[in-house]
Amino acid sequence: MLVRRTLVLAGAAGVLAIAGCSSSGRSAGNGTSGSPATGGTSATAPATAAAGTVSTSQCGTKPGAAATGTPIKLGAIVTDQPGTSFTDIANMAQAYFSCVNANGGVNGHPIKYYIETEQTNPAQIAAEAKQLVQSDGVVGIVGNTSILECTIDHTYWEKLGIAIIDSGIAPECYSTPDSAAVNMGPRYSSDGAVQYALSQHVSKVVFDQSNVPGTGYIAAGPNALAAAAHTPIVNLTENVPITNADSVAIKEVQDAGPGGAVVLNFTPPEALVILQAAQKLGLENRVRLWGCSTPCNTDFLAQQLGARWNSKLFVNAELTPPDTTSTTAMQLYKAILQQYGSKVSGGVGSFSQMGFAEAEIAVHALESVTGGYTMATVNAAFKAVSNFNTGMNCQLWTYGSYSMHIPNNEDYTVTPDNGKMVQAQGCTAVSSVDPQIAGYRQAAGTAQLAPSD
Amino acid sequence: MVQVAALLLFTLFGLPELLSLYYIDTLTQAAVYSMVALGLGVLVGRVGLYSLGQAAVLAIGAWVAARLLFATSLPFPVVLLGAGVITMLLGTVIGLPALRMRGLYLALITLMMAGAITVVLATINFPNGGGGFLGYNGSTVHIPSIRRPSIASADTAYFRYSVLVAMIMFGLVLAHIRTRPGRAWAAIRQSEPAALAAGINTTLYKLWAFALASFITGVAGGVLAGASRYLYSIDFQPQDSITLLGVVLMGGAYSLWGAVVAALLLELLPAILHSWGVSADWLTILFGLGVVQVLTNAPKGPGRPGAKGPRTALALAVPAWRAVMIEVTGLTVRFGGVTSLDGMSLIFEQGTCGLIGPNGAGKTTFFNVLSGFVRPAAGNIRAFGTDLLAMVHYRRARWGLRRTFQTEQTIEELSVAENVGLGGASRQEVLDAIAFAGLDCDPGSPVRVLGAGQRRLVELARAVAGQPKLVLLDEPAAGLPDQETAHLGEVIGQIPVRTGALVILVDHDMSLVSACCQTTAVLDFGKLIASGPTAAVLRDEGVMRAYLGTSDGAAP
Amino acid sequence: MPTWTDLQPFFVSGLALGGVYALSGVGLVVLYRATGVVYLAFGAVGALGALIAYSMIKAGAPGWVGWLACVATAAAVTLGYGLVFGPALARRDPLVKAVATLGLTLILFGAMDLLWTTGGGQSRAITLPADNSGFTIGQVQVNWTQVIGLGAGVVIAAGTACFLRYTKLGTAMRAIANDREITATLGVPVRRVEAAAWLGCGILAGVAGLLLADLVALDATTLTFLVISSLSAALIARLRSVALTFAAALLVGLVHDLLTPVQALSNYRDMTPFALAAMALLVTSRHRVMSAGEG
Repeated sequence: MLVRRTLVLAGAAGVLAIAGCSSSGRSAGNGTSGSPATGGTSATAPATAAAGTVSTSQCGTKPGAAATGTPIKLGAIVTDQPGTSFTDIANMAQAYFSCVNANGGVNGHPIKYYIETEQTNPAQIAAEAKQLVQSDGVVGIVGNTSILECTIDHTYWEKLGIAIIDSGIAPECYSTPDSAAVNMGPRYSSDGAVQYALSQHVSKVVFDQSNVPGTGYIAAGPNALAAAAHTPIVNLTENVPITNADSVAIKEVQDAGPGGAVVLNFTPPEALVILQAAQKLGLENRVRLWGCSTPCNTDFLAQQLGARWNSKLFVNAELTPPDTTSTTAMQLYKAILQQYGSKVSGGVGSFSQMGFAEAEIAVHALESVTGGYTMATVNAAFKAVSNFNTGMNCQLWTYGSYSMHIPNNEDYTVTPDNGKMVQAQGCTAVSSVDPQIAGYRQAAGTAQLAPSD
Repeated sequence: MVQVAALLLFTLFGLPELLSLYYIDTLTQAAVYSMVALGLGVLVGRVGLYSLGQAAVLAIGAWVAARLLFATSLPFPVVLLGAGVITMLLGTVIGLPALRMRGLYLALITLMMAGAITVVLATINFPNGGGGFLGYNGSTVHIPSIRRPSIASADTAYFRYSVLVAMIMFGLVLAHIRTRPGRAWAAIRQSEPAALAAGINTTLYKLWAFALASFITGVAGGVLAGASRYLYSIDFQPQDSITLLGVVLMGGAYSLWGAVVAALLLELLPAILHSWGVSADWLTILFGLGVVQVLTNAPKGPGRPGAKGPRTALALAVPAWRAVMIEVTGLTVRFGGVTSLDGMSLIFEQGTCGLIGPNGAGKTTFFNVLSGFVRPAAGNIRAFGTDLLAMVHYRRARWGLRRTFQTEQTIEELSVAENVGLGGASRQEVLDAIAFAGLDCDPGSPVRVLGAGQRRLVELARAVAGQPKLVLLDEPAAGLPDQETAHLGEVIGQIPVRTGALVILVDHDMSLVSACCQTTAVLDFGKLIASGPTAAVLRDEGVMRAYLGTSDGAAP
Repeated sequence: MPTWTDLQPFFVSGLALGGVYALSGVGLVVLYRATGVVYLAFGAVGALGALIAYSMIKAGAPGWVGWLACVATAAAVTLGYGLVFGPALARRDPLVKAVATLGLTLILFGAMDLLWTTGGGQSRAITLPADNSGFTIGQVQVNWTQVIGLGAGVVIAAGTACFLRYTKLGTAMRAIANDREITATLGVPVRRVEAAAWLGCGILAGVAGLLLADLVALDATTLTFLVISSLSAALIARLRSVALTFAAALLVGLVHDLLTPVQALSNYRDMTPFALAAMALLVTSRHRVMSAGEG
């Protein structure tokens, strides 16, 4: 087991090394300290890595000193309803802020964080945005994760000049000037999963998603990729919650054929149910490979699935795998999670990673603000974030003043290995064949281009 | 009325000053759902029809409004009207076949239909500015918002707009309640058979209620589209219909204020709890408890004071004498394995005829065949030369069939005059009938205050109002003291004389039967065992044996 | 159009799905005939039991203890409801009694979401020993839990039908459901028989809940509202015949899954239970006239 793991890691390191020669902007690999690859103003990650635990006090500038100044108010809107809950992300951001507040704050100012939960009700979401700004008096929005929020509030944010830092889902999280996400969202993550399948030269792709708002928008990316690769693609949607996983699995396998790939875009419980049904019916080997967008990237899923899926299921990972990385940032993340993250029910995983990254960016930006912390100054600082190493992404993270933002557009691919997710492919840029990706790369200029040197 | 106006003014102008935009947005949603609750209240509270699918109707209204708002540049009020009308048409079309069903099945089929609509919506999605019939563009990266009326695009202004639209809908319902539909609904809710017997076309009025509820909910959907600005199918789930019914029951399905309370429960209370950090699950539990509590304690139907009217007293016009005859041939009725009427053949001549027999003999069944509630397996009935069985049941009342029931069937919340006039008799005919029955109370007084005997007289008055041809009286004296029974007998005896109608009287009180029936027929185990002049029939040995029940079984 | 080999596996999966619907559908009809109540909280009560079993097993209890706890919880809640609210609602018409159980559904649903919160990406599952073994029919593998689900439906249907028809207790239950007052005057111990009916009802819901949690998903929302789809089978049988309910459930499941490979209709296949129930109700009520007749 250990040997196998080391081999995989070595392989991954090898891939990274090769990738390092040919691709730009990567975050730290294994053990080596993170260093920005390209020029431009850079913010170095916290001090040199030590192979052991990192003290949480590193999150702030004055270890041990509690912040006592006037609070800087930030807000977030996250979905929380039966079946879908993103509270972990905001709770992790809160944990980070608590850590910062206990270690000097932002230039002595503590951060007061208002978290609003919503139940996918458009009127409620619009009302909560107003509540945060008008009643709670927040000056910045960090940590939004919502199925609908970007669509509903983006006009409001733009009117106020608020630049949100979020974990995006809806199209407007990536296509408007005032939202920049730390994750890739369902479309680009599905792009990554389909891209991997195409790279394995499958004969056909079946792309199946849950029937939530935006399926057409999400499918447009994979469809473009498949078309460019001259590979036929079938688009399916399923109403969730799924009550008949058997027929879903059968249909997918039939449509894909023996040389094809089935790529899923579902929330973890639904994806798990489909994969388990496929296993119960003995169908997992009837296609060339299975793929899944990033929600499947949890050890929990790997455990539930068991060994038959090793190197059979390839999951897109939009964030750096926490189990196999031990950079300073990753260790800090785990330490803060342990000390301050009692409300984060999912523990180590992509949700809390996103929360960590978003809070990290926000604090980094706030630290550069001179003078008062107003809506204007705070959001100008957010937009000025450039080539920041979050420790959770392949690339350095930039906000910038572009008309759209997809700052995280390189991903990993992982596969289950006896109960854990391990890396199958290192940082790979999402193909510019997806017109949105191409549009972003053009808008962002050279700082974010794919392979160059 | 003044209080309502003051409250309205406060809501429109005072609240926006006092509340934050968060609560103004919440109250806009409450205005929307007050209309939905209003529609459901009409169905449940006024007519007694439980719909478990109103959230789906709301979704249809919102869909239509969104489609119109994106595809056309019609003014917003026109779009609201359009959404209301189209939803009304769809609701009526869907409701028409379902209306044949009774209570439980109707409720469950609305649940099924809501489920079906939800699946369709999940597949076609709400319009979002795309083209084609469905208007859905699935791949857009910039979803446009639904437009609002130009005079009310800001949130506060739209709040006022919504409240005004809601007021109009409430006014619409009020207008219905105070006029004929309202009375018809009250009668249907009390007892559908009695309403039918009074000549009310129950199917029409039930459909009218469906149409009204659908129209209002459709308009509400339009207002919702403008309020939310983005519509998603995940926001209209079957669970929402269930919660909606729950809050309507809790708020009070009958009163108009109940709809407002229901809306506040559904929208304002969760928003308040949410801002305190209390989970919405506690509210779900509260609503569940509320439903159980309301249903366990709810009375059958509340009363309402009726309108007062002027007092008049005019003599009853005497119709021309004419020979009346009812001919029954070979009438057979079966229920499952039981033969309720077995080849009954009989002629009813003019005047008042008694129909007697032991319990279970088939007397009420015979009345039910005449009313049209039961289809006979064989036989036919000719009344005044008309084939009665070929006539649709609700037409028979207009034709002149009247009936009273064993249990008293006055509508408590209506006045005496309104009760008597339920079958569509004119004001004058109503007053004449009241005078004929010997009721000396104010026609405008509520029935609630009358005693049992007087209520029977009200029923009798209703049966003779207008121009009855055939009056069926089913144990009209049940539970009355002797003195009132005697008075009743006198009135009954006069009916053929004053109106020319044929009266068939079923009763166990032999003195009443002797007093007012010229002829009497006797049924036993579904068979006719005697008929003829009353005195002779009552002395007949076979009849006595049937009543006393000898040990060797029934008379042949 | 899909070919025969394409359709084949959907027959099997459709039967399995039909078995799922049958479990709740038969339960609903049996309970209606025994208590006069359309027990719409059937799914919620089963879900509660399954979640309790899950928590106990997760805390280390052996499997069978968890399953027993599931059935016991469902029985206890149902019996409690029946004893507390049954008599008060007994005289009301079936509609009111059914809507009252919707109230119970809401209470349980809210409680379950409070106690078993939606976690971050983790899902809960119940696995039964029969999950891991199966056999093959044609191209498709069938696992034993699906067979058990179908079999349980058959056993429950047959068993309860016989119980209601041939035993004294069953007859008493049917009589009470029909007319409580008259049955009471006949000397039947109404309260005790009712309690037995509710208890049996709860046990059924618990067993069904456990099987459904394994076959479908251990999720409060899914299991609670699965009853709406199962209701369709009961409605097709007009809430009367248990055998017809079972057959209707299988039909619904088959039609649903057989539509999966049909391109034009596939997205609408989740409508199947509702559409079939609505059609069946409308067709069979065409000739019906309101009857107010008493002899």
